[in-house]
Amino acid sequence: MLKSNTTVRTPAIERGKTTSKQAGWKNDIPLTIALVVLALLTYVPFVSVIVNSFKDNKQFFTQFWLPTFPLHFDNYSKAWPIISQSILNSVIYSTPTVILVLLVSGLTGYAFARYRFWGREVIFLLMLILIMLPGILLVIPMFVEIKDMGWINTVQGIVFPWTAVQIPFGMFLMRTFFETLPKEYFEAARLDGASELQLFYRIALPLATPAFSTLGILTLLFTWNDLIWPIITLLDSTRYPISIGVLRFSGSFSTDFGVTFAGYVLASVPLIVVFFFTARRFMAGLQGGLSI
Amino acid sequence: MATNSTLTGSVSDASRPRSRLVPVYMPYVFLLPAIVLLLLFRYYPAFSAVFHSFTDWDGTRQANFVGLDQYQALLKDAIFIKSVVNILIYTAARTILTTVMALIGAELVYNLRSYVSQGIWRIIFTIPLVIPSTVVFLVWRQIYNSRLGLLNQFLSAIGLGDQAQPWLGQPNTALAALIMVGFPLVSGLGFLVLLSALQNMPTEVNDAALIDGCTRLRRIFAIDLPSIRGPLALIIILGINAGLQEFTPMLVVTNGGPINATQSPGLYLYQQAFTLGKFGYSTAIGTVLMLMTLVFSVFILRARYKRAHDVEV
Repeated sequence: MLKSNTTVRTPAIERGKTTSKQAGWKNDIPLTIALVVLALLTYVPFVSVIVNSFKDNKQFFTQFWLPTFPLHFDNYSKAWPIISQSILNSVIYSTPTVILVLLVSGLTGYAFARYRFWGREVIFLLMLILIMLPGILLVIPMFVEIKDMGWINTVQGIVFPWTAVQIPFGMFLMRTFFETLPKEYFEAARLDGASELQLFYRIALPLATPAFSTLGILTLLFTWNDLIWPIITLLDSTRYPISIGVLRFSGSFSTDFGVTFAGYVLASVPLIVVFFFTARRFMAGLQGGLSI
Repeated sequence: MATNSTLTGSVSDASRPRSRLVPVYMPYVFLLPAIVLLLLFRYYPAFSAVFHSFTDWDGTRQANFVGLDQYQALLKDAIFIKSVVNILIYTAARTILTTVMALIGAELVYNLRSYVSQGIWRIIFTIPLVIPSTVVFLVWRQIYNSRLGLLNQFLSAIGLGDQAQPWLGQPNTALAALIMVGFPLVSGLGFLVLLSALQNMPTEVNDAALIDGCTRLRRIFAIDLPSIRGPLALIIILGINAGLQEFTPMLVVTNGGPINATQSPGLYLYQQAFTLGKFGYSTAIGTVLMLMTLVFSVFILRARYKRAHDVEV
């Protein structure tokens, strides 16, 4: 069976991990060298994009590796109008999707974890098996379905199908999390006269922050990167999200490398900013001990 | 891990008299939004896709039942066969590469003695994860560019200029180039999942092994790998599932070319449906893809649970 642990754990350092780790920092040197090499290989392409985003074509053709002067900040002011609408669109599509995924997965996972009812295990398995479905297969009938609903080119035409993609994994994650909560919390509140709905949003939801951050971040990354569904349902290029918006640079603007690279940098900035403001929660969420 | 014990807890819940207080319909109210969304946007399209793979559907006109004609046409379609071979190579190479590199990265960080460095390296390899994947693909397309690409520029800079070549422009290098996109592939979800699995291992076992004179490399194979079998299997299954239906890198980096050298069933399905309007044919491609995914997933899950006795700690 699939498992996941999103409970907050004792940091390793408090569990006496230091006992085997007192030989000193010198032992870290070979490991650090290997890590530096891997980090260099990872970052050189992106650093090269940033360096070259300040060049005009003449500078780029003559000096590939090093920065050249004057720096062309105007590449950024040229790239911004091309990409800004896409950034806004991505925010418009991603925000409601993340909220809906958290809400619906929370409700579903909570019901599976806290109630016993007719058909519980069957419904759970029927939902879980959807994780295995290749999304690309569903894209064709879903396109026709969305077209019949008149949802082509709309926000809801993106948001609801995206939400449905994330629910099977989300409800599973939330179920395993809610099962770890002590049932005494709920009994105490029930004795105090709380209704079932109150139990959910006054007790379960506030306690579920670690699991919600895992699910929220994975959903955000999915919606930010998904290309196929928007490219099929959105016909109007002013509604394209980032994943399609950056492709404009590879088309008509590809002759100006500096502007293209500036566009790549601008497209990457929003999530990097989100990351720096939420780094701790972001990483705690991503390493919520996923396993099967 | 810590979750299994609570399952029994909910059983005893039900036998308590106070559960009478919960209205019978309550759980179904909680499930309703998920059921509606999944019926509309998962179950219905899935059944519709499989059903229409037996028809000549074009998305607008009434579809006619054609039996197995679409599947027979698939078997005779050299481009489709080529795309299946490509995706099998791509998925195998890509899954092995990403898993091994994520594991190497996680082990390197885990073995650092300083916790501060562990934290810093974790951040360093997390940041690239937030760069939009389309940007990553476009950057790599630029890296492989024959004249102004980073790879060929680098080869010239170290005196190997004669090795420079149009990596994406030749059928014999394009697929390999696509597989290597994102090299060294350390930074990713796999790295974070494996690192946290390693950090959550009970340290006593490692300490005991160390005292017994176990070398680091031997410890990795004898202790670390068996302990993180669950997360490893998860990463491999996710990698295979994503790999088999891969679409975006082919579309953005090579558009399936040159001469279908990087054609994938996912991209082919998209082209057949949305440029040629052959919806029936592409749902047949999708159904084959789904069967492939299921077979591989079952295979991995069986391998993971065969004679596996997970010790709950």
